[in-house]
Amino acid sequence: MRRFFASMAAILMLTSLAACSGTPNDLSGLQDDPYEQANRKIHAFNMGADTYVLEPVADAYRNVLPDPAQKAIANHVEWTGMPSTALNSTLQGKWENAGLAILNFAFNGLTLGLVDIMDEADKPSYEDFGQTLAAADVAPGEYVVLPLLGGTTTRGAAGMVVDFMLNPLSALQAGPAGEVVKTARVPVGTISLRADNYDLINQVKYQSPDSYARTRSIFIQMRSAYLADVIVEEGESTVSDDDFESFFE
Amino acid sequence: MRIFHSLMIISLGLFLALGSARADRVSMAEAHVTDMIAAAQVILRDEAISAEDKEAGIRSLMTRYFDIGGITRASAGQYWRKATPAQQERYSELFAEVLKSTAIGQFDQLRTLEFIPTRSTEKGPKMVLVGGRIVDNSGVQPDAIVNWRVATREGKPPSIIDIEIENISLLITQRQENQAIIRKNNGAFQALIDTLEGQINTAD
Repeated sequence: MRRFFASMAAILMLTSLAACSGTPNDLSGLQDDPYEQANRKIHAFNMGADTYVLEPVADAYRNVLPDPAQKAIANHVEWTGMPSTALNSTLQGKWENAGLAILNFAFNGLTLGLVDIMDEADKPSYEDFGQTLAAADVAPGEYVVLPLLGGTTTRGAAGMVVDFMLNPLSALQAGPAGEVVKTARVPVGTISLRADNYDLINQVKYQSPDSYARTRSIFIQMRSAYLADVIVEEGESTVSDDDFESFFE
Repeated sequence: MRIFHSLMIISLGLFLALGSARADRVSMAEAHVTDMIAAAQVILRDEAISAEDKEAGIRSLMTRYFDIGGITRASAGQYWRKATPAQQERYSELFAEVLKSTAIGQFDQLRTLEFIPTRSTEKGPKMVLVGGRIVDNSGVQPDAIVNWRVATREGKPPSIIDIEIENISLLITQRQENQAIIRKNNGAFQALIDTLEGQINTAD
């Protein structure tokens, strides 16, 4: 109970910080980055942790584990996010997406999410509490880099706490075996994600002259697309046409 | 009444002409992208062509199909105007080199991947977004959504000004990174030039 109140206090604090600046879906202001000095230090720490722990583990994971096993783990990680997607879709009034998330969670739950038995067309779009806060007109706040978790906004950080609490495995009470699964899910999910994006992350890490700035830019663009719900559309873009004015001067 | 009829016919004619011009712009932009990819695949898939010649071929395609000068200026953002002519010249040389080197690495993947245009949209009167999917026929990699932003200027051939992969714009990413480097160095454009020189030397 004490943990719950502590979490709620943290969320309230972070959302009130987030509410201080910006408009809900416009993330362009994040480039101003008032916490850049501190963020860069945490980014450097995260890159070090990646180099010494995550990258070699993800490399071994890719090379040792057969593709179907990697796919099963990725499916399971996605499945555990379905209750959060269902609830957040409902809170945002995205009823169809909420229904699809519930169906996915129920059907794929037959295999604990290891096998995806739903059609590709019936996959819900990912929704998190950060997006729900945006839909409720909470401003994004500032760009912050969290130790080991990476870049987000102050609003997104608040959302992460809620999404973590909504994960079905958080409430699992299944003795020592259940505790192992609960303890392992965050690192396994992180390794799976790192392995799935192995080349892309290495490209940013090793080939970029300023990996912090590039990571921040990619985060802002990806998050803008999520907020605008255009991530899966060809011929659609969240990039403003005004950004290309200089080509026609 | 006759005047009214004449006006109706003229309006209809104009409407059809505008519609046809729009369709021309979109199909011209699509053809521009698919022609370039086809040309790149011919070069990359020909076993008889040496690695050096392949690289030269891709560099030549980049010059022909992309607006390298425009991308260079846009990648420096508002700092372009603040740079001296000598700095602008040096930056243009270095950035073109980085751009082409990066592209050669990326284009190499087109040996095994296919681009399938699926939906193109006009972006105002001067740009077309050619949307499609990069498909790995071997099934190893998942499909990726790619949008090519093509400038369609009146009386000029089309040219590619940006590529967006899964909604990440390569130009915006590059510009924001460059601006961060300049800002970190108290607005000195020279810092960006030094960084690019370092990047090229490390790659060599």
